[in-house]
Amino acid sequence: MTRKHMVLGLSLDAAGHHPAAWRMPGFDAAAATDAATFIAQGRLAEDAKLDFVMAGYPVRSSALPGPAFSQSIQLEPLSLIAALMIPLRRIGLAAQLPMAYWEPFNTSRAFAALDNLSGGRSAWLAVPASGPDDEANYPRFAHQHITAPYERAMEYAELVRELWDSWEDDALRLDKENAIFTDHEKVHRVGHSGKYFFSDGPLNAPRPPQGHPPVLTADLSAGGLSFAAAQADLVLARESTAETAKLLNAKLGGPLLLADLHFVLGATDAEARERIAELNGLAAPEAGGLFFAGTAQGLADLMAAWFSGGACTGFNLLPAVMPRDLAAFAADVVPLLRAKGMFRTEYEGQTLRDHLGLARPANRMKGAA
Amino acid sequence: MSDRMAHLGLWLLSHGHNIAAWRHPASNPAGLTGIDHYLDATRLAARGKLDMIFFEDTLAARERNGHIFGEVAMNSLDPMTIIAALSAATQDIGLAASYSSTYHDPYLLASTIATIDHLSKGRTAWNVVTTDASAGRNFSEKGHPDKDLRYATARETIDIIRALWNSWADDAVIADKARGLFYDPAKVQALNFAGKWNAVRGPLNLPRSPQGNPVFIQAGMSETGMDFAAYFAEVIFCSIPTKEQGIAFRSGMRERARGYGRDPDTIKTMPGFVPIVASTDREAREKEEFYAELVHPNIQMALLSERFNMDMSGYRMDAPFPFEDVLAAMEADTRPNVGGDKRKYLANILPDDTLGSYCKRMTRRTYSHVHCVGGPETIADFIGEWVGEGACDGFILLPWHFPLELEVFVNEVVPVLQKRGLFRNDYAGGTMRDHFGLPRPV
Repeated sequence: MTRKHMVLGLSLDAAGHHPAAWRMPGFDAAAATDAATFIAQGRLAEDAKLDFVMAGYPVRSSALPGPAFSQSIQLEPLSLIAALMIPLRRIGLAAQLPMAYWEPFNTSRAFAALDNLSGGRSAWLAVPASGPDDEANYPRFAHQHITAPYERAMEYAELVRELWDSWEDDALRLDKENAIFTDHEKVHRVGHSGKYFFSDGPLNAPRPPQGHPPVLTADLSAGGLSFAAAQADLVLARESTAETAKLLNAKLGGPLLLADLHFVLGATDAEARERIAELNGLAAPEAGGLFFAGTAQGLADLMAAWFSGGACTGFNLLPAVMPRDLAAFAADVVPLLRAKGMFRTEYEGQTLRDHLGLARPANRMKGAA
Repeated sequence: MSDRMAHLGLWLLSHGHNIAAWRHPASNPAGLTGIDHYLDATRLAARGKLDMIFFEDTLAARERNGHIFGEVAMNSLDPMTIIAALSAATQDIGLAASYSSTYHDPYLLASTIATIDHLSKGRTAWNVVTTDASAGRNFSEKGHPDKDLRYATARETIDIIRALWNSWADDAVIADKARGLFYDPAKVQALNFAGKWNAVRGPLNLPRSPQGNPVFIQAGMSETGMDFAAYFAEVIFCSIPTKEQGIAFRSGMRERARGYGRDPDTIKTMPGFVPIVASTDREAREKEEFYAELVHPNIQMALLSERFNMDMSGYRMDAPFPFEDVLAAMEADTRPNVGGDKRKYLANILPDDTLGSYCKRMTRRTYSHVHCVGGPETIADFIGEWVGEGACDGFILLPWHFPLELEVFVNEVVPVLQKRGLFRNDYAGGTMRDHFGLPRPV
């Protein structure tokens, strides 16, 4: 399918995605745990009609990264993203929830809640495999001795979907006259008994308005890619050139590729270069991915070239310094993308699937005994 | 007149605590899946200066005869997600969610609850539940851990979570931009906790939250549950039928807390309480009648089916109570503690009961929590008496309808309580600990 509009998501971070962002003037440490910080970022994104905001990306282990990093503060992503559903009424809400140490029933239930409460705007950034640092903090994970994480992750994701499907779409009858709230014939046991998980079900929440909230992954290992091919709607990729992105995009098959985009904006190229030099002088950025420092015009042209050249379906925005680079993106880059006919001017639908142009999955349990 | 102030919480449950509240003409059951229903009720409760709202947690669909219990409103959606959603959109009022210690890992629990405490600026509480047996089949073919094991692991989980919450000193974040030190590494400590069931290295990946430790709530009333509560809980949600039992329970819990080296004033007993309020005592009695009528015969039958684990739908409402059949079903019932104490229900059957007359009487009040029916002065008398005589530190309100019955309470009862000096005129502080007068843990 040829898409007219690119997909744009924003990864939230209190200070910004450059590791030295918190050392820029104007950043106050209290902002790192203040909901207002994230609401303000989300509002910029929603006013610019972005597809979604995301909490918990890049994926980091639970071990502290060292005293030099503001990213030592990791607000729990699902709670943070839930806190945005009332102030932000249209934009999609994506949250990381790792598969290694939360039960599938709980994951299914949490996203059913997030999706129902927000009117169908949630997405799940699934992390199929976690590292040894997490093992030290998560005894349940350690006890399971996960030797085949991707096989386990596949079963995990399937069970989460089975539970979402355990309520048919029209299970809520809400018939006051005859006192039928839920039609019990439209709520089904899943009876899952697999290699890794057991769950009888049904879920104790109605099917999410989106059917299944879209699933994102960012694991580009061989196992991660085959997991993504089967389970993901969106894949976040750290590709530094359009050529490699295009190769990956062709390999992915089903899921849409969103390229991680780190950027520093300036009124002139020289100003942007000065800013990135100052930041890099304080701390080296994480390796990998697309880094841009320049003007709004330069960034819009780069994004247009990637998008129309088939390197990606859209971008996961990682502004270097918040809110400065995000505000500049919304004010200056988005209008240029619109002028190119590559980005929406208004939300057209209600749910995140509507924004993303993704079909709503049918219920596999419909009509089951 | 009492010199003690009441604490008031609110259990926010679907359209209300009457089992048929969703059938009320003013109800919009389709709204129960959206956040605005909970937001509006929370803002209303905050207008009434209540200490907190509270959400239950279940990890299995409510069932009867092997099917979902479709005659009643669906279970609460994930309560942590709800209070997280409310955290930045409400002010002042405390936000309490129940969550299972049995089916969640301590690190993520600690992180989730501390996150909500940050986002709400210190208004979060966790009601620690070990979860009833119906959850077992959703998590493991081995079934649900037994009660002693659940409470023992829960106690260890509390220790780990407290240690994680305390792994950052209050002044650990220094944000020294010149030196490039976001936190002072000497003030963030790993725990290396190695317990009997869990090993957690830590530290938490979050600074200490505004309350230091979010408030702990507990609701178990068994011997094990009470001992567990005395160990750590600051608010006890209990079910107390009479003032005398309230006095005994409260003094007992204070004594147990002292046994753990705690200041007894840091443990607050809060019985559930159903206020049925109207402008006059007479109108309140009429209101009670109206709500009793809402409980449709299908709901009555389904409740019975749930309690006795048998399909009652084939019996005639005007036939004598089928005592023998029910007894046989009870004997065959292997569900551990589902549907409450079934023998207690049977004891309430009168000699000339038909199934219908029994149903109607039994479902008129579905809670064992204490009820009070009357005008605002009568309700205020009740609250003043219980709190004044030391039967409790306050109540968790279970209004029969949201928003209607909460509105009546806030608009008519709260002003009377305030006038009598029994309830705050305004919030004195910003955190839930401030509302309850609980010290911030060092």
